[in-house]
Amino acid sequence: MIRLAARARRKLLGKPEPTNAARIPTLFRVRIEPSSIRINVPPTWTEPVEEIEDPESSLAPHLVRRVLVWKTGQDPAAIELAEGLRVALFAKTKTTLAYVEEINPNASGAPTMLDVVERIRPSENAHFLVRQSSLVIIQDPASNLPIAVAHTWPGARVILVLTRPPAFPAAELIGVEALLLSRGVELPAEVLDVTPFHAGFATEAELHSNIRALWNVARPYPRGHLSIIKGSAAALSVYEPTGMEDILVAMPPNWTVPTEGITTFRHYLLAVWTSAQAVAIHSKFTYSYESLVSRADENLFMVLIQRGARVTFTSASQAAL
Amino acid sequence: MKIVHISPSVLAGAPGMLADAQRELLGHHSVHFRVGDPGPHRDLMSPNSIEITNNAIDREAFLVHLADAEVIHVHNFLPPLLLRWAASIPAIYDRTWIYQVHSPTHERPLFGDLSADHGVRWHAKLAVCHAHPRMFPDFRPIPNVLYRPFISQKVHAAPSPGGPLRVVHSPSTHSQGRWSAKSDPLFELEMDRLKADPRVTVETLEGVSPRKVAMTRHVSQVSIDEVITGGFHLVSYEGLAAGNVVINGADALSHAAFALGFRTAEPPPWIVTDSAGVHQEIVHLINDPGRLAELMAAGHDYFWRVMAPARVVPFYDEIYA
Repeated sequence: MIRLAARARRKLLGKPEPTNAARIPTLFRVRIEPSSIRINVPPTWTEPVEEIEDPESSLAPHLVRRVLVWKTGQDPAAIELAEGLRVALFAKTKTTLAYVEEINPNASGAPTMLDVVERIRPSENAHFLVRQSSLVIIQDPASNLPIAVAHTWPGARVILVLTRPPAFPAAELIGVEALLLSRGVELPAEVLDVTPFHAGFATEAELHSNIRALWNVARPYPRGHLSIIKGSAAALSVYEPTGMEDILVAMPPNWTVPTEGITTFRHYLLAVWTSAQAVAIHSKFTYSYESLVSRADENLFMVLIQRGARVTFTSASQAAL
Repeated sequence: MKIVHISPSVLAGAPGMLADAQRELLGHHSVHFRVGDPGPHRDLMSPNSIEITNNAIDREAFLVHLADAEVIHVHNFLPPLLLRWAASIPAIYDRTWIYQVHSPTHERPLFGDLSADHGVRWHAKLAVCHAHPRMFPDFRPIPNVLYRPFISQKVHAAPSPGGPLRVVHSPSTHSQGRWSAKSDPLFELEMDRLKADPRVTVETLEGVSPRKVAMTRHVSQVSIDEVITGGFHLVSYEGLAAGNVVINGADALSHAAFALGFRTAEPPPWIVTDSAGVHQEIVHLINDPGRLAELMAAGHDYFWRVMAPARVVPFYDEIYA
């Protein structure tokens, strides 16, 4: 079924241009405006980071182009790879790069988590830097600690690089926005299915290309672009956006909160997903149309909500029913 | 029933209010212990809790209560010091242990679901029914309990015909987290416009006691909760209880969590807006005194009918059973 859907999408969107650089489709854009819906086809494609014009950096250079690479303990391979990333991707730009040492990566649990956060916030500057990082790269963590802490900065998009299988339960990886896996590293489907972007890499150059592409969309969140992941965009055509929508859900007219038989919020979210005529997700939660649509199910919906997406309901347009 | 509430935060008002309500409304033996010195916040939020530090007399007092407890209700997480002390009581883990979260994920002090880190078998896991259930979808949504000796149904605000509209803004803490943010640049701008409007008096309360805040609401007409995140806070409870028009930014999922937690299909009569809409909503209230009076009365009626401690506290007994 997924394969058929992928073929249908290729037919709709056309084939990507052949290129030597690793490129990924970033968005299938649907801009919802008060009076109409405009769909831009085909999807946009990323360019290498050095070629991107970044008008925002001239306006507020201290707020963009921040990268945090999380070194794992004293692991020489991890440090080497992190240094390679810095040289290959960020040395030519004016990107600020921060390293954070995980002193005791084998410890976990609440007290340790608090310790770590306190340790990496000893100075106002360091705190400011990591809080403003728009891209956090974590490589081969020994525990889920760096992932949890990286998520404390709401502006950050978190990329996890695994050159070896994680030493902790794979389910703890849920919540990262991109997974880059060295060839041979396998993760269960329940993790991959809810990660907006994942890709394999065989060489360091391939890894760099992927991160470069991801970095291009790891800029301050755009406003107003919604990707339809379920149903028809026409169902949303009567909605007038406020600019605050993270997830926009078109529900049948007169739909109300089901309270009968609902014992947990997960049940409630499942009822919403099942009843929804259309669901659109803000582009800030997506890395690629392909990666999102091919795995658009209720699990992904719930993960995005757990990650902090606000939900706005609207009544489905009668025209779409 | 003997209940011991434990929380790690000096700024935790909710567990202390719950313990007081259980003791005074239901006749339970309920007490709240917290760890840490509140310093300048000593009287800000938890005047009704017992502060614990690492000394012999505190240990003895804590263990005397814990030894008799039938229910041990942990809020956010059990401080390691108290977990060590608790372990000295035989069969302590056979009691009814309840875990409740009051903080969002990805922000201090929780970052994620820490329930499994305690080594305790939980009888129930609860999340306050604000923004939190979406982050803890398998936890049971539960209301906070607003219970203070100086908050009663009989004392409430009244419209002020002819005088300026008095608006209370009381951000208790300053945080820039995704879910604990209280302000953004646009909101600050709108508040400045509000303060410059001669038809409005803005009372900004910071670092004052709950009693002073309640007193101010009783002579005001509007309470602004935060409108940034999509969630809402105890400010909304306090505003409704005092007969103020409440303005917050609750999104669809926060409303759903509210409905599940308070077990009602009747939406609360508060005004929902975002940073850009705060001033506009206030202007609408100024221009329509009839609507202002109607909303003030409706909010007061709603709180004491749906959200009142007497209605909500027994929900906890059902969970403990």
